Amino acid sequence: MSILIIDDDPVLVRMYQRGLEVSGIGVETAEDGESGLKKAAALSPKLILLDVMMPKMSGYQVLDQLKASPQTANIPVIVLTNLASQEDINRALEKGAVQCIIKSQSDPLEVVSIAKKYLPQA
Amino acid sequence: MPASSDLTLLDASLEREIFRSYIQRTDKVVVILTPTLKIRTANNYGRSILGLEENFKSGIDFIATYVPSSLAPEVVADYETLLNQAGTTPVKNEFQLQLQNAVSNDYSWQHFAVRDNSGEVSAILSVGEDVSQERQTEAVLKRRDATLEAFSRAAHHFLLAVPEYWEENVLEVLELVGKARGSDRVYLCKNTPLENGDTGLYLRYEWKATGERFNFLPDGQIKTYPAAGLTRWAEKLSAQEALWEEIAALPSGEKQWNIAPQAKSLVVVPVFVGNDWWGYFGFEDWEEVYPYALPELEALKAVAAAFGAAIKRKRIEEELSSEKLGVEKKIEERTQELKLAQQEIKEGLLRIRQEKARLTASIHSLSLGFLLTELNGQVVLYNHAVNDILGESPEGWSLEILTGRLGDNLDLKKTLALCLKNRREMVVEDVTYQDKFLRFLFTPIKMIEDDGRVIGAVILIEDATQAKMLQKSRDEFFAVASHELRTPLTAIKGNSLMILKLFSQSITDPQVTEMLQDILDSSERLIAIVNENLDVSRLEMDKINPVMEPFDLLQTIHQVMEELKGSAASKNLAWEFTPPSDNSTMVLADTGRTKQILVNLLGNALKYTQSGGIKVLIDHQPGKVLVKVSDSGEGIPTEDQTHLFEKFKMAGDRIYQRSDSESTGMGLYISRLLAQAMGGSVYLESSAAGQGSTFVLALNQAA
Repeated sequence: MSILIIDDDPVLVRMYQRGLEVSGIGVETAEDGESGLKKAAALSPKLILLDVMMPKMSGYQVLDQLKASPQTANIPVIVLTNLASQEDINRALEKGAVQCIIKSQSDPLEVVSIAKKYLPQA
Repeated sequence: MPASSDLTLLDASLEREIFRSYIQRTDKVVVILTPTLKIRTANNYGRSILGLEENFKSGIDFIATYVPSSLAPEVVADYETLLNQAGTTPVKNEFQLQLQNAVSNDYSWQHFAVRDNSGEVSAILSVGEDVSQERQTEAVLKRRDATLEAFSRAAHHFLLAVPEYWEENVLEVLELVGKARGSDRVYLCKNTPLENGDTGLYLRYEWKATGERFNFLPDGQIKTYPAAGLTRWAEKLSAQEALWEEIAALPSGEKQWNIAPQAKSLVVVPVFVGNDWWGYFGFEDWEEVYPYALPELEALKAVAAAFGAAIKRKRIEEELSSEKLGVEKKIEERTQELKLAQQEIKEGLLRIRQEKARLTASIHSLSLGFLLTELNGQVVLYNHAVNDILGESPEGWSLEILTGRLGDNLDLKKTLALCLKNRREMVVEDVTYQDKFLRFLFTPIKMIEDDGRVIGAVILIEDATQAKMLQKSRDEFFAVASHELRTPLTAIKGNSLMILKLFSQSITDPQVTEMLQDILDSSERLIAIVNENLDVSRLEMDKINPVMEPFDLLQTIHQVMEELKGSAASKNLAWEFTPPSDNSTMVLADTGRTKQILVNLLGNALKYTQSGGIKVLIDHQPGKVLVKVSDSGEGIPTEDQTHLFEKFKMAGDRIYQRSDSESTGMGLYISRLLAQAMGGSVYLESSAAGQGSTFVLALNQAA
């Protein structure tokens, strides 16, 4: 397992998962922040793709907690969102995300190639 | 039988002869009916009207043959009343005779029962008098009254007309008179001298019963009377004569110009200003040929005369107020005329005083807070709504009390002073008061006859809380909805792309590839539309804060022109930018947003230009740098120009039709909002059919 996707939208999760798996990258998924944090701690993924707008816990809150815990603080996080304003992007980067991708403006193959940059070369 | 009556002296047959003679000579229709309402006989006049032969066979059913079926039951009932009552009282009624191949007139009838010795009705005598003429006269007088009533109201309008509302007033008058007269179209054509000495004319004002009002300027529409086919009219009208025309009977040349295709008849009445022929009023009837009676025509002439007088007064006033007329002699000449005009105004003012009482009542019924102040700020009148909005004030309302209530949220005195000084309306939105959002409107009160001297102000207070909440929730809904749309669109786009790129080997039919490509393209287009909408709603909610910094506009223009150069070349269009000789192109604005606006303006110019080219140049106004983008496209029709910057354009609009399917048509709207957010503006400088358009972006010059 190399990548953890935390996103509440099953259709998008399936799409990114398929794209990554076809490229030979292992994927685990979580449908909300809480289970995402648990899986991040238990599985130590190499990279986390994190959605912002989720029920209960927002992606920003998840990001804060990931960075606050020594177990997960060093896992690179790419924020995937459809909030396209510059303020939203800056906020994610300030909180420690390595990159912010606007979902509607990037196709899954671009997401795969960006993700690959943050994975240790096999 | 009474034995000693004078009548008995007459021979019975002679007596019958006298009656017969009278009945034959009268100009009334006399019909004798059987008790079963069959015609027994009629006098000669009656026979000719009813179309009966000299020796007609009696027994024709009078009701079935001559009474319109809609009235038959009532007429039969009247006859029954006559048959059933005792005595000799006649029954009266009024009905038209139903005639074959003849115009049916109105008849006023009297029916008499003729009884035999036993008192049984043996015959009925029906005497009808043609009253069409009287009825028509009555109708004509009523119509003339209506026209005159409208005329007096029209005169009132002209009396109070200040030059700046002149055009509205004229249109108001066209509507008043048109409605009163029952015309389908009323218009004013104005004469204008041509360079070669001929008289030209054009349609100046127009009102239609459908409610449309038009106010035309002469550009390009001027014709000479001969060219309009109206030489005959010109002769009559210039001699102060009015004309009535039945359209079907017009010589073909006169059907050419400005007569509505559906018109059946019309009247044209000349307008004279002093001794000068100004033009003419036209009154069209579309439903049927309308025969004007003389009194009505006179009323219309009076309207035309009042209009001429009003123009004269307006000219005098304008001349007197214009600075170029400093010559005392000329003033002297005019003073007498002006005195007369002022007299008219005085009479008008008297009427205003009466209106004032009505106005005060209206003010109190307003749901808007209303305060009237003197020039010094003293409140002289306010309505109950002020209390409703701001809460009760036991000591009434003054500027001090208002200021105390509103606190720091609105500098009332300063705003009022600005309004009075600049002599224009001021609006202050979003003034918070307790849990309300208030909107303040300050309007200076200008005197009409005193050069527009300001004598005070009206302050209106509107409780805009609900409207604001509604607007806000609507905008937010729109933003959220647009955002929510993106997620499924992302899935459609991403999945179709992955199928094409990663799973293409499983597709055996090339048609499927094509279909997937269409799905992909469409999803991208939809995403672009959603993004534009989101941009708009963020702009409208003031959520986009431009980063203002000084930068050189020259570079941005070069950049954008470079990016779009390819499209210009592929259409073989010239692509020119003339930089100014001085380096005065530093502006204070947001670089990215400025670029977005320029891409939109240049993109539009490229889109709508098929030959020729696009020119960009820099111009200046005090404190502003202007970028002018001119194209050699087909130009924008005048009627579409007002809609250019609207968010949603009307379907069927030409602009909408020519914008291609890839854009949402909101580009100009967004550009204008962006420019305004940066303190600048975007506007259409000029556009004419076949001559291309020039759009301007104005930005603040960097200090």
